[in-house]
Amino acid sequence: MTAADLEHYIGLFHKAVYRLALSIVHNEAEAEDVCQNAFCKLFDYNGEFEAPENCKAWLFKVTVNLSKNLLKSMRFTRSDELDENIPANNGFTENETALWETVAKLPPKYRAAIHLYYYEGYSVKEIADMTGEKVSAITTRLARARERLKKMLLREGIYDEKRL
Amino acid sequence: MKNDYNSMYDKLCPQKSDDELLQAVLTGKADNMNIKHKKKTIIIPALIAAALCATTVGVSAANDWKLTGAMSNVMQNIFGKKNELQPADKDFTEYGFENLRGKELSDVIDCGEYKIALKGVTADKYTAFIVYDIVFDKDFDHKLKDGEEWCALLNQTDSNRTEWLSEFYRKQGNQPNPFSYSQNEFLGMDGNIAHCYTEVANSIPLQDKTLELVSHGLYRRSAKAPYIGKEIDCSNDEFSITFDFDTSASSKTIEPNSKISVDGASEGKITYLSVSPFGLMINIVWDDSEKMGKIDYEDSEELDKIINETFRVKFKDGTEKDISAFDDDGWNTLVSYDDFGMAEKAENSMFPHWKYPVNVDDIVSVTLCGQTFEFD
Repeated sequence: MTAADLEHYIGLFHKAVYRLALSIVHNEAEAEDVCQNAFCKLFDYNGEFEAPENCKAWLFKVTVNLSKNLLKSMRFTRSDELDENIPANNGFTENETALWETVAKLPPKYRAAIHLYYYEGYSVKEIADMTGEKVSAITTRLARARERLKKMLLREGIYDEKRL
Repeated sequence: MKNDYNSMYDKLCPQKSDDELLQAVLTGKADNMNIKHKKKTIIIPALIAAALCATTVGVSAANDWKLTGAMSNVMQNIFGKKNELQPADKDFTEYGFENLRGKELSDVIDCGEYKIALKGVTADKYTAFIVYDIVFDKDFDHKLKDGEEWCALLNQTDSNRTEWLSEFYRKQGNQPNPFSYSQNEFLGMDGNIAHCYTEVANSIPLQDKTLELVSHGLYRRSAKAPYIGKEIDCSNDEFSITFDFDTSASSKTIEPNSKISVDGASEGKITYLSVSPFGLMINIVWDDSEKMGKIDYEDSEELDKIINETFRVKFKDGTEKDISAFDDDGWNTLVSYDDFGMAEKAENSMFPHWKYPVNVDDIVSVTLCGQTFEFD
């Protein structure tokens, strides 16, 4: 891949890749690292993409793997847990802040599924392809993630039944 | 809720601009590749290494120091703390340490009011423990501070760097805590000498590739360097030290390529099995790539099954140890990625840590999924 191609894809997908990484690692500095490494791998990639969307899916797949790998390696090194701070200068409303904190309590695999499905609008099949898992596994995961989030948000009084 | 979620993420933007990211990728690629190809490098905290580049002076302190005694203290501190709720194995500190085959070091770094003397290192393929002393000048009022605080001096050997990193973290909205990746621990005070140790992670050489596990080490800092600032080049080799230390001397490794079966269905091969005083490493290549997805580190039901029901380590004295001999946090599964970070290979690596160091010469065999793998 040429530097011009890389620049093109960074322009298209930088924010999306960053947000996906952030949804999994929930830490801005780590998300930046994952994001940079994902584009490093794209720069190394010798294949071609038929359409930008294919490149986006490829990048997302790499980002999910890098994020998960990062979390695993942090567990391995027995270092401190990720500092899941609320992003600085975010302009979050009260509800959004509470939602961020609640989502942070979900396991990383749940966060990734929720983000890809609800924010990025991918289908369950597409998410399964990206994460290398079965469609049934993603379906179950989404259902469990929704259920967990619902319980937590109700318990914390952040939402009532009507708004969920 | 969905609207709030989307609105929340709409507001999040990367700190770097597109141009900065482009520049970082273009310039960072070569650095990362250099690091990736380094093997058997024990990465120590950046500031220790940086300090090592400073003036080196002769060793004069702690004449009576003995590596064995110091490392035994380290082991007691680490494994005693970790398992404080359980009775320690009898004589585990001495028994374990005798077989760790540590190496003495003699590097001394002059930091002005005190010197840092790197005393010794012991390591297996996964982890390294470095023992060091902080030696204060005789007229320096070291008694005013608690010993543990002195062991954190390593994080302050370069005040300028601490200052700008603190500023960087403050701007990010985080507390300045840039060096939490390594634990500096206090062992004791002897006159004007504070005895300390640090635990650092090593990269794992696995067959023909290296798995980078140092999330808080050089690799990560290198990637971050371009936007931290140009005052420091974290990718430079001066931030790592390769000790002349053979980690394989204290471990036993076999490459059995033996088939195993889980639930009598999908099969795999154990391709690599290594035991060391601190831990174990098992590498499994599955025949069915879908198997790998099932044994994700979070989806651990099947992994638990393998561990709990089939895992045994047999010792020369006839005793056997099962999963309870290992640290609960140690059974992490790491999928092996190809060069592009894609988990295309149906391959898992597991690296549990012993609760207490063991003598690998006493290990006769490891049994997993109905297969027993014997060590010579």
